[in-house]
Amino acid sequence: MTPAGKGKKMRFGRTLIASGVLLGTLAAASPAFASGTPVAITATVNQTISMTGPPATLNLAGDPGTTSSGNVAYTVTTNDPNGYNVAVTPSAPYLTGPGTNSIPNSAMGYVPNGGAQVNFNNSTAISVNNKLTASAGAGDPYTDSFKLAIPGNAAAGAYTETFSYLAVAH
Amino acid sequence: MSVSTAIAGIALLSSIAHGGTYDVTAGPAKTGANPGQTVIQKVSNHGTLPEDVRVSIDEIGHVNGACGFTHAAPLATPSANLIHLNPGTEYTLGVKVAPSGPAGYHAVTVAYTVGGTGAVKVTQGVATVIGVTYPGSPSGSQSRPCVAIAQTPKPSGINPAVPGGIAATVLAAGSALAFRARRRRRSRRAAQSA
Repeated sequence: MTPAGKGKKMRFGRTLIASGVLLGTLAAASPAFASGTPVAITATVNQTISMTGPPATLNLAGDPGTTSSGNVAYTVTTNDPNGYNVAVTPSAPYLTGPGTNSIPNSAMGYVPNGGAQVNFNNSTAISVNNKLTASAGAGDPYTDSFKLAIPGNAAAGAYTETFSYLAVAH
Repeated sequence: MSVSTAIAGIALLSSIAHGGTYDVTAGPAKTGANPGQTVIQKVSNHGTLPEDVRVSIDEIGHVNGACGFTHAAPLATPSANLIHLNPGTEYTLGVKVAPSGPAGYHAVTVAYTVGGTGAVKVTQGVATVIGVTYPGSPSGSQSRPCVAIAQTPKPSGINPAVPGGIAATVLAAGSALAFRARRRRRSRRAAQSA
């Protein structure tokens, strides 16, 4: 046999081997596709509620007889289809001032997200924002205002109280 | 480093120093439990500031004729009362529901709050609800359980809750006047032709 003929024969042999390997691979692999066992995937989306925003700092300062305002901004996000409620609860019936001085909570007004003003009554929680469906995907943004009507006879000094915001799912 | 890059870097550092957001995310937002059961809850911080989350138990019930936080004796105990969360971290805790309590349904709330600063301090956060029913016949207001905080009534005056009603009244009055005017014109025309 001439060297050229020998080369041709070798190439043919290699092609045959390669085809055999490929067929073998396909034969081995195909039963997996043919009898394909269905894979059951269960995905669970947790029901969550969140409040987010810049940390709230209220600087309510003013002269006696004037009204001082401060805003609180926050975003509520929930995937609960029944929605949520945001309530604000005062820690006491009044703001505690210097000595025995105090300002009753009834002097503290609240304007929820551009709505009508309501005033606190003792330490009763007020519902400030209410929604009966899930929030928008990126959350529902709110900007609420505190309005303190400083009594004309209020003694000078710092008056303290804590107001707690809570978003609760319906 | 170019001048503009340096300025951009300073601006970014400045925004990080002065900005930042807190975040309190908790779940499951609402769930049920049996007396004595421990409910697993997860609280996480998706904000950009580290925070100390205070965990407190309350209940939604009747307060002055409406549904609100009762501040009654807590019917559950959390496994942690204060949790430090760095941004992007979460914490799993157990809330053990009291094995016994007043008969009837109770909406026990687990509040997760972060504190603000200033004289008038604002704490903010979320509350999850665990519904639990204790055996026995509920008495008084407990026979009509609260499931959510009641909407605070709007101040007196125009009630924005019923703009549709006001619009309907105006529309009805307008239609009645228009109908009366048409009838008058018709009878005038009839009198002229006669």
